Amino acid sequence: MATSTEAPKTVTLTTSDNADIQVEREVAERSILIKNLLEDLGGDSNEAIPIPNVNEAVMKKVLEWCEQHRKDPPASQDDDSDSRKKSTDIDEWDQKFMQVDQEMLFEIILAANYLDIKALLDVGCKTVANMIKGKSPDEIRKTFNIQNDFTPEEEDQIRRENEWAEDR
Amino acid sequence: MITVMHFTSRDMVEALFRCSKSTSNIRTLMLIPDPVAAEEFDLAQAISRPILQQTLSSLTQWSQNICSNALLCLPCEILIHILLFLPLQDMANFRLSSKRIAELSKVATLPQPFWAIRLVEKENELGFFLRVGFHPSDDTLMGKECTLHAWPSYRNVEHS
Repeated sequence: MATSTEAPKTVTLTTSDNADIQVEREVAERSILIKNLLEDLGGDSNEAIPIPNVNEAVMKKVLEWCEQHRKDPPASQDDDSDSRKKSTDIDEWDQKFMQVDQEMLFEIILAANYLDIKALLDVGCKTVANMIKGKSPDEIRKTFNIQNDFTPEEEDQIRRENEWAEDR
Repeated sequence: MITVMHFTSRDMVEALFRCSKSTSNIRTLMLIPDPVAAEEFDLAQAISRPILQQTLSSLTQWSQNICSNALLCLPCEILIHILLFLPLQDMANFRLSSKRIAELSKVATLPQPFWAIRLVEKENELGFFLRVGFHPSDDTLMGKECTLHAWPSYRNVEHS
């Protein structure tokens, strides 16, 4: 007699551009926002979950990360401290995942923040921090296409404010 | 992230003023004046006042200079999260890249986790060390319940 294996539960997410994405519940629940929402809806609701702040392209990218990290231990209250353990080291898969243009990188960070996926938010922020590290202010501006909006006096003021942080 | 605000005209003028002082969390601002209230309040006259002209001018400057840039458009809690991962020297350079970053990373306004991580985990970046035998729990040092009780256990390396 063949043993029946239960099909994994799926949920449908509706993105800001009205695309429906079907995904395994376990994967979607990497997002604390979605997890809480599903719990609030109770049991086996088949309703599509609206994600009004994330478009299809970004959502697919986020779900790709969630799929890869589906077996990671669930986020706990201690994650706040764990994630901040100084290192800006990013594992190899995540580094490749984050090799996207800046617009997509910031969209992923915003989506991770909105969907409450702390580990993905950390990876995104570490990626940006690594792009800043070791660069002069001019190089940082060039990297992120920032316009210098300081007057010379204001810049001097910031340099004075920065003295405590220099040469640490 | 679009912030939609419904205002009466008077509210709108006040909101414009507030926005010019604190634009940190607003990526896109849509102002929808209430036409009924507009009759009671001469917006054109209000805008002619120097302070409001200045406010509108700084708002325009903000939208052109700051929000044309995806990094600077990130909400301040995310920008501060990025700061957590930067050594102090790099943070100092980042502060010099833009007014927005300089404003949100003033010493007085940086959050507890920023300092906690440097005291506990960033290899004594601040030049303090823990008193021998003192083992603080995360709860006291990671910004959750950072009480005065924890702080006397640090000594400044230069003055020890």
